[in-house]
Amino acid sequence: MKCLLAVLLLAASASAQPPALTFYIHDTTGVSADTPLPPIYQLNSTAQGSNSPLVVKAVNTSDNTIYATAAYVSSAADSAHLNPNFSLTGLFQGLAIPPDGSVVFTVNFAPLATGPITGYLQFAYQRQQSGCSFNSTDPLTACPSSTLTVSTLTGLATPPILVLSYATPGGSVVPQGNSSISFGNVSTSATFSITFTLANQVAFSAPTPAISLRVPQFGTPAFQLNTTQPGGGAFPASLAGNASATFVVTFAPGQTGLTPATFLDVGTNSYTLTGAGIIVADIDALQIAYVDATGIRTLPQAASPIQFGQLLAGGGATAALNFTVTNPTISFNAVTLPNLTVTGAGFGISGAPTLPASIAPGQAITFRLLFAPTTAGTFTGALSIGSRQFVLRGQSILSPLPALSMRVTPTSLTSQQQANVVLGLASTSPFTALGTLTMAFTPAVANVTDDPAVLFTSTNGRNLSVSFPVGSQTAVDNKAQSPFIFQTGTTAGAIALTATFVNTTPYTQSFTIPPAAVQITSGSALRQSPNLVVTLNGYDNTYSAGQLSFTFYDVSGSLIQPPIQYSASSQFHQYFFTNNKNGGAFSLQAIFPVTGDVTKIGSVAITLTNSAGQTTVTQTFK
Amino acid sequence: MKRYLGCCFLFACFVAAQVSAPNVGSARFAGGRVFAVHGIPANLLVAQAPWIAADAVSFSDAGGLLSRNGTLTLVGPDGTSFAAYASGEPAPVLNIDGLLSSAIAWLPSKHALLNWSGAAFLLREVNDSGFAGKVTCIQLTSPQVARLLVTHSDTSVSAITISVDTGEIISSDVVPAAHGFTFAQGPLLLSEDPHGLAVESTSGVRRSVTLSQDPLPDGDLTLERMSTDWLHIASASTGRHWALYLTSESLRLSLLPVPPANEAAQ
Repeated sequence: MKCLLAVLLLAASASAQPPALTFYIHDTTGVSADTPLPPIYQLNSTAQGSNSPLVVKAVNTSDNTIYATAAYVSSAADSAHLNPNFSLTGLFQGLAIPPDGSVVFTVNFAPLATGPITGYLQFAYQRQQSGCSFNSTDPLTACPSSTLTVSTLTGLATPPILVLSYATPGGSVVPQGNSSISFGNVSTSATFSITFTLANQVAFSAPTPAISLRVPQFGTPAFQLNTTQPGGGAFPASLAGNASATFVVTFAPGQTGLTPATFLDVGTNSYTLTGAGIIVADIDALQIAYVDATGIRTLPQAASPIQFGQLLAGGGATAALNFTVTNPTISFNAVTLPNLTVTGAGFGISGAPTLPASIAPGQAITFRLLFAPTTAGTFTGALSIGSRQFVLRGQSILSPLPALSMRVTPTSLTSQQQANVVLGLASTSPFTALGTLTMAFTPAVANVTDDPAVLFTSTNGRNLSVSFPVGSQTAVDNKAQSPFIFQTGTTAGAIALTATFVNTTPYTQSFTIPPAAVQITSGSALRQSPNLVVTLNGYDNTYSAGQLSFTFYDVSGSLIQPPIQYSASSQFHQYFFTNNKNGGAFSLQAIFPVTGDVTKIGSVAITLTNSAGQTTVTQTFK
Repeated sequence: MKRYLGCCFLFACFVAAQVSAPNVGSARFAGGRVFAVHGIPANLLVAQAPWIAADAVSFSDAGGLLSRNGTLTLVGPDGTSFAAYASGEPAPVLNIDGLLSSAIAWLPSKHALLNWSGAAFLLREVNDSGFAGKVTCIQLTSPQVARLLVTHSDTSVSAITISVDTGEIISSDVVPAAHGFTFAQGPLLLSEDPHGLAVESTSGVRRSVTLSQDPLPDGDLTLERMSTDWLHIASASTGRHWALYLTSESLRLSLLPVPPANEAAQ
């Protein structure tokens, strides 16, 4: 009882206050000032099937925050029953409007029948005061609700200017807006078409509305729209007085059962297209599906071309779709597939079974459909699985960039080099093109997988972000520098440089790093009595060094004794093939214990042998 | 029968041979991060992560001298710390080019030499009023004598020799043909050149090391010793780093791969 009393008090309080909202007719272009929306407003006369919008602005003229809960046009002043001749767009359900704030929405007068029509614009809201809560379900704390009848809207609905119709065996049918149009049951090997006529009912010219199919978001449409006129040409933008034009919708199911909802939109009118794919011959039962390179599985409909997407012309790329054709377990009979063909330039098939092929219930065959265009353009082909027909479509584009080129200096690469690469275009870049230059290394040495010293010096890695500034023929890195410098490492093998830009065939050049005899880059020979210490730094890009020869000379250059032969194969092998992080680069230290005066020993000639040859260097003792 | 002089020597047939990764040294990059570097000229590998952070460094094959937040630290070849000295000096000039006993530093704010005796750091104040200018390089030319390279305001360069024992100035000589930032590598002098560096030998032979086709701004280059024979050159304007292998017999310039920017020192 107390609750009811509180609600009544709150309601009385709300009704006693001046209106919290003021409504205006609003010009969205800002050319005209807002004018108050009168209690009774005469709408423009509107033809059936057309729409007259009225933009309304609601301003919070109270000192409290207003919580707009709904706006609608009702059939009666004291009713919440929606008037079907009106719709609202820009709805704002649950919008908080602060004092002096506003909300704009549109009332659409779209009469479904002719004659005078009246609607009542209603605006429901809550008003925040006395610490109440908008979202509370407790009557004691909820903010008071009100519904304003903003304005009585009257308008005259005139006969439609354009009338859509289609022929049936029983005569011409004029579908009402939002009605359903059935295409019936159609074999998955067949098609069924309806020709629609859009006729101008008046003596003067009238613009034609947009005509389109609205398809399910994740499905493949089984309907196809063709607005090409019988004599050729596109659907006219307007119809002369009492003239008409036609368009055709074709139902071509590729799958059995009811098709996903598809809508035919003709201006503001929308029609639901229905139909079902059925089995007439055994082959109609086959379930056809394909999976693309990303793993997405699609159930094709004959009405919609099977899309291969876009490839680069002449890039050697191939798009492939993996098909599975299944005879459902519930089938009574095995299905014999007499033919499986693909036609059209650029399209091909692989992995097809020997034909004719019998597919038992619960069994399937697979094959691969290929698209490999050699020139630029749009390609259309056809896939026939017995009597089941599908259109194939693919696109091939030319690179938007001029031809890429690569110039490496020196042209003949060897190990232990810091080489330059300049990435160029045949002509100036028409836009700023961002890409990458990557390097791959393939060692030629058995049991060696990589050489970490093969890298770009600016990134210490094998990837480099590069770009062609607009108007430039030479690529630069992110410090605007060119050429790009890379190390060739110290392992025999092949270096591949690849430039990649969007919508451009990757450009690759490969360079061979040939096997070479051991190279010594620095060394020393020290007298550390009673030892002689010889140190050599260098590389062996074959990882096969082993045999060493040391020939000692006195300070006058005379040979002291026969060369000392030593096999360091095990030391080199251990170094090269156990946790190697330095490629073929090495530091060799050899220590010779000596009895006698080491100051009399002047120099040593060291010969190192690997699979590519011998190298001899001489070091003078210090 | 052929006679060999070796009859007066006895070479053991035993040869101890060891193969290892060629060491280049350590280099200091942006943020003071110090990375180990291995390899040979034109084939350099910078470690994935820094092993220490420092404000200034100098390394030889025997160890290194580092400065961090005013503290100088002497480290061995494996990075092990031997000794530290709290100098409070924000911008010391460091050098070590041989054994640990070659470690020496110039402390500009204290007008003093600091060297490693083999057992302790020794500080010697120097009356430097006679050579106004900026010390760009210091080295021990003998256990008792240090040499400073000083760049004056007119970019001329003087070589000042100082007694390590007393801090007394022994001599002051103008270095002909050198100007601006000057660095010593053994008997060789490196000084700024419009496009890089000029290397001059004691015999006056001069060789240019081109680092950039475009002229570099004055004071653009920083040189630090990576090891006995390797120098690290950094250009502030180009962001590039080089490793220069420089001995009396050989000069090899290599670009130094730049390590990732976000690696923190261990």
